[in-house]
Amino acid sequence: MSATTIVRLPQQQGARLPARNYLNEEYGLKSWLLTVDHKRIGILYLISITFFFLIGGILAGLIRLELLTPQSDLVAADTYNKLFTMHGIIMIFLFLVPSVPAVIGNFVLPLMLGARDLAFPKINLLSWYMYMGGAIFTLYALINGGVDTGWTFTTPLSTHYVNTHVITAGLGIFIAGFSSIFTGLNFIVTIHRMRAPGMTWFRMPLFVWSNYAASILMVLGTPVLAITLILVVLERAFGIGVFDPAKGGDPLLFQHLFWFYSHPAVYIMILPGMGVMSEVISTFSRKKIFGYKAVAFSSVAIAVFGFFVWEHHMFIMGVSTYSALVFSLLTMMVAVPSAIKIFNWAATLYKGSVTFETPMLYAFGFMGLFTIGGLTGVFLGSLGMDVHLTETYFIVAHFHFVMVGGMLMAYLSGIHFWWPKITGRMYPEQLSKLAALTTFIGFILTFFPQFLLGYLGMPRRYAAYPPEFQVLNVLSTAGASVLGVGYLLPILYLTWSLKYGKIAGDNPWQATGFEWQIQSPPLTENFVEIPVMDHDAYDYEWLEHRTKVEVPSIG
Amino acid sequence: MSEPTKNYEHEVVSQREGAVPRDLLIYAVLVVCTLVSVASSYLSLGVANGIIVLLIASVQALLTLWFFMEVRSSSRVLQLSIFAGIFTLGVLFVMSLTDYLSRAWGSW
Amino acid sequence: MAERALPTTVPGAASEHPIAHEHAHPPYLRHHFETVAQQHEASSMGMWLFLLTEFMFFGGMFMAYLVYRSWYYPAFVAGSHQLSIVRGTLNTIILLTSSLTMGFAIHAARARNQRALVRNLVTTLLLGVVFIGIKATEWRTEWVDHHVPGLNFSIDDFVHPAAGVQALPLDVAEHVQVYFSLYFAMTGMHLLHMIIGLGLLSFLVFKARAGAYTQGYSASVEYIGLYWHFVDIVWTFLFPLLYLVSRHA
Repeated sequence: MSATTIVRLPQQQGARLPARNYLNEEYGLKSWLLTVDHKRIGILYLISITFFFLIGGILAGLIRLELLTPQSDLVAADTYNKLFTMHGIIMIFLFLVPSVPAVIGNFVLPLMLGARDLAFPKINLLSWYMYMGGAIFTLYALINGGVDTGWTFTTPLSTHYVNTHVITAGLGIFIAGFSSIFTGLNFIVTIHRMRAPGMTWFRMPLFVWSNYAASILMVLGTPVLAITLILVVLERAFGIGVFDPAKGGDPLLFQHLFWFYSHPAVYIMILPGMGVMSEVISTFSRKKIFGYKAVAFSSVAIAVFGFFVWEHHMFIMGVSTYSALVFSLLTMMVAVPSAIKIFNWAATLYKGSVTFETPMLYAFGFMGLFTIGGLTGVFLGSLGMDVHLTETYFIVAHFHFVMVGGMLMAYLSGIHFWWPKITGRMYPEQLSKLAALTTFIGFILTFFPQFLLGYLGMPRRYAAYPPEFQVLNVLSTAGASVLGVGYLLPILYLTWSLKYGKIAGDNPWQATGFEWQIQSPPLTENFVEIPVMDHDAYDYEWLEHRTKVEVPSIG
Repeated sequence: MSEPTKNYEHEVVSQREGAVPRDLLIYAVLVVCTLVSVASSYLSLGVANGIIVLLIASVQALLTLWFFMEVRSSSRVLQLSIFAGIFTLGVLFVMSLTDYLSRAWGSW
Repeated sequence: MAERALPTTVPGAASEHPIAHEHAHPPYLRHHFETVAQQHEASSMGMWLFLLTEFMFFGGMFMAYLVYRSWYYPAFVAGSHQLSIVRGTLNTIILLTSSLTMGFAIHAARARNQRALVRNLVTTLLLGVVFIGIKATEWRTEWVDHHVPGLNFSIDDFVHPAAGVQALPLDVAEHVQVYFSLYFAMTGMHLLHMIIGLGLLSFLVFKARAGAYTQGYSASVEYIGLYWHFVDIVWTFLFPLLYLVSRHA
């Protein structure tokens, strides 16, 4: 391994955080709970989603503990159903969907564009309160016995056959959906109307393009989930009959409406992570992203095509085989833009000056694991394969590879990349690299056996399984313990770094981008003077010229 | 015509003399559309009944959008956004129908 | 947050001209926007995007309607005939009129005519209240006639109908409940949005009487106007789909 690093910190002796920044501008709980500063709202989200990540993680731990043995002996089958349902709801709606957009995007997007804030700062704060409202409903449901329908709320199970808190959980997700809509709306308007002078569309960082595409999905897709959940609540509360076969309703209609959102939802989750990848890979190869326009357009293509493929979640549910063929073909096509990105990132690395700081380690993890996850998605898109593999652990492994191996790694990469900007401090590098490595190893040990389990026929969402599957399950649970350590470490050392971390200075990574040319942490108003964009994105020559000309900041 | 009132720098206000009569005309067209729609449903036209009332409703919606909601003078971005919304809903309708319409085909 | 003095021109930008001095920092310019024009364009776009989400929201219900109408057409015909064409058409015209008066209100605000603005806003509001009143009587009729799904739905009216109307077979009669489910879900959701609209209009009336929108910045009236027109457009589609299903039969 190369010992070089591009990190350049100011001299630590006598270094201080900037005298005035967004963190010390105002003190007190009210100044945080009533803030309209996008940076503070990003931090509010950071704290909230980390809390729910821990709860979701504990639920995952309980699931893996139960699956150590073939019998349903740790918890009853009904309880097991509640465990995986709540794990899914919390991890998807309360962690993954808001992760990069609401934490990193909120903080960094206006800075990247050269704006003083998002277009609608109060709507931004409202979106956090909607998140908290939805989260409280979900917590209430959890504490009062949970939901056991699976996060997919499939009818008629959810409307007629369970007596758990479906309505509360459904309403919770409905409210949290508004958080997503408001964030997306804010981003779209900001990107269209608040770019700095000279910042044309093709000079924006690719992180912005990815979040733009994800925001389009949030705005167009989430309302359909909203109406679907309302209909489920009405069906459950009043028996209106819209999904009830006995009254002439079609349970599959629920699935069409549900997956019409929930498939684009997976792109809402992954696209912002891909945006982080573009930033990180460029910075740590000291090279502009290969094929900027291809990567930009592929983000939009993923968003558009993402709306055309939802029925591949319903292949075995009784849909017409003719329509299944159409959707299968479209599913093959939607993989192409994602692959384009992977190729372009790889081409960026080629002949770049690659160094292996922590964000880059997570990025490498992403590239490998997301590729595996994505390819297995193509297997599942093939109609014949899906009939064998669906509702088995193959699916579970597939989506954990893309969501955890892909998205969560991208999120951690982004957190480690922008941490110096958010807090003004660096985290301990050795420990963070250890955590990244631990996560990678733990992840593979946890989820790779699940591909094998699924192919061999172990069904998902079952508390008990045939004894011949035990070895692979034990491997998976062992991996989960390692993974847990890997995720706990950042929470600990990042918190530690708030007080004891090295002072980072403006631009520890020597990255391009407006956010790296201002102080760390930034001023409340972001810029003293709105910058003018007169060069392309990822222009390292511009950066070199500017660094030579300017006096280095000493914090 | 009197000098149009300027608000927020670049915005030119609706010409006072021209705006009201035009709005009344559009309103009259909308009401007539409604009455025609009601009348048409009393004719026995089979499948065409549904199509006609939907077409008339679409015309009414377009008029409201174009004139009352001032899409005619809005930016390209806004017009594209409206199209994107209609397109996405269209995808929901058409692609779900690929399932519903073909369920009874063949012996699969 | 503490106020900071902001540059009123953007350094280095070629196309921007300095803002006229009496509007250097008008009170309605939010500090994160550089110019009022930018604020207006951004706010307008925000409102339209929000309407787009509402469009997709109602769209889900229209999808359900599409499926069930194609499956249970005779039931939909029977259900539609239960609705009062007079009250439905009247309500449609009332809503169209309220859209007209809302448009007048926007013109008045732009022309800085406070009396006309308040007058038109109040008219719009009253028309909305009348709409809701008529809708309430319709819902009451459904309740009395035992057409409310899940709560008191009875197929009696369809299996033993009044003289001159053809009786429906049992299963078709059961499916009329699906029609009414969609009827209540769609008109109910529409009604909820009307009520929100009335709340917004009341807020506008209150502020307009204090002179808020006739000082050169009438944006709020325009945006709430957009919302009101949108709710009207939803009804434009609901009316034929619910009330005009084959009235000739």
